[in-house]
Amino acid sequence: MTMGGASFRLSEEESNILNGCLRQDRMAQQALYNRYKDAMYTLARRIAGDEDLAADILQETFIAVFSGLKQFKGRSTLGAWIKTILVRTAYKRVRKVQPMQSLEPHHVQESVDWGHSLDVEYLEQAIQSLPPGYRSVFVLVAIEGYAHKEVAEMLSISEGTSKSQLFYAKRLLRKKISQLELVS
Amino acid sequence: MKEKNPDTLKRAIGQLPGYVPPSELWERIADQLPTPHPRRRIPLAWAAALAFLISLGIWMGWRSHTYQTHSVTLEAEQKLSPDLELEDAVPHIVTDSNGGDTSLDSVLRLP
Repeated sequence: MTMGGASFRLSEEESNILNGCLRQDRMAQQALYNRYKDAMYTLARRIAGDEDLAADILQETFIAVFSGLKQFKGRSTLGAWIKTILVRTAYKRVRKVQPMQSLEPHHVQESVDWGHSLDVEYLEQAIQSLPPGYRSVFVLVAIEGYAHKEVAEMLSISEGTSKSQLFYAKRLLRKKISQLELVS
Repeated sequence: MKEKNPDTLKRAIGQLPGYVPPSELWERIADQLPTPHPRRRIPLAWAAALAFLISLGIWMGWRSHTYQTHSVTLEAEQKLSPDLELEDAVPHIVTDSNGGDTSLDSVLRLP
C-alpha cells in the first residue's frame, strides 16, 4: 500500500495496523507500540541518559504519533517517521536540562585514537556521562547513522554545530573511556 | 579531526545493548488516548425534543391500544349476550322508508 503518493511501500501488516490506528482501534495502537517500543526506548534512553526520562519521552512520542498519524504521508518508513518524532521530543526534553553550547566549527588538528579494542560497558557508561548536546549528536550520527544535515534539521541547529558537537563528543568520550580503563 | 582506528569504535557501537521500556508504559499511554468509539454529545434542546417525541410515541401507542381493547371487549360482550345489539348503543341516523325523511331531519326541522 502506498499513501498519498508515497515513495515508501508499507507491508500489508503495517498497513492494517496503520488503518486500525486511524480508526482509534486500541488493538492496532498497541500493535504499533509493540512493534517499535524497544528500538525507540533504547534511542530515547541513549539521548536522555536516564531511564525515567526515557519512559516519559517514549510516552509523549507515542501520544504524538497516534494523534498525528493522519499527517504521515509515507515519505519515509513508518519507523523513521516515529523516530524523528522521538528525537525531537527527546532533544526538547534534554535541552531544558542543559542547552547545547553553540560551538564554532573546529579547526583543531587533533586526533582521537580508539585503539584496537574498546570495552562496550565502558563505552556505554561514557556515552551516558556526556553532556546532553554532545550525547544527542553522537547518538544520532555515530550510532543511528544520521547525516549531519539530517541532525541539523531535527535538532534545529546548524550543520557546523552538529559537526563540532560530534568532534567534542568523541574527544571527551575517548578521555572518559581511558579514565574508566585506568580505574579498573 | 583525525581519527585513528575508527573501526574499533564502530565495532563497539555494534555491540551496545538494547533496552526494554517498563511494562506498565503502554497502560500509561492508553490512558491518555481518546476513547476508541467516542459518543457523540447531543445538545440539551435536541435531547429534550427527542425525549418528548419518544414520550408522545409511547402515549399514542398506548391510546390506540386502549381503543382497540375497548372495541374487542364490546364484540366479546356481544358474543356472550346475543340480545345486546351494539348498534342500539350508538345513536345513528335512520332513513325513513316512506319519504326519505330521516329521524335526524325531523329533529332538525324547524316548526
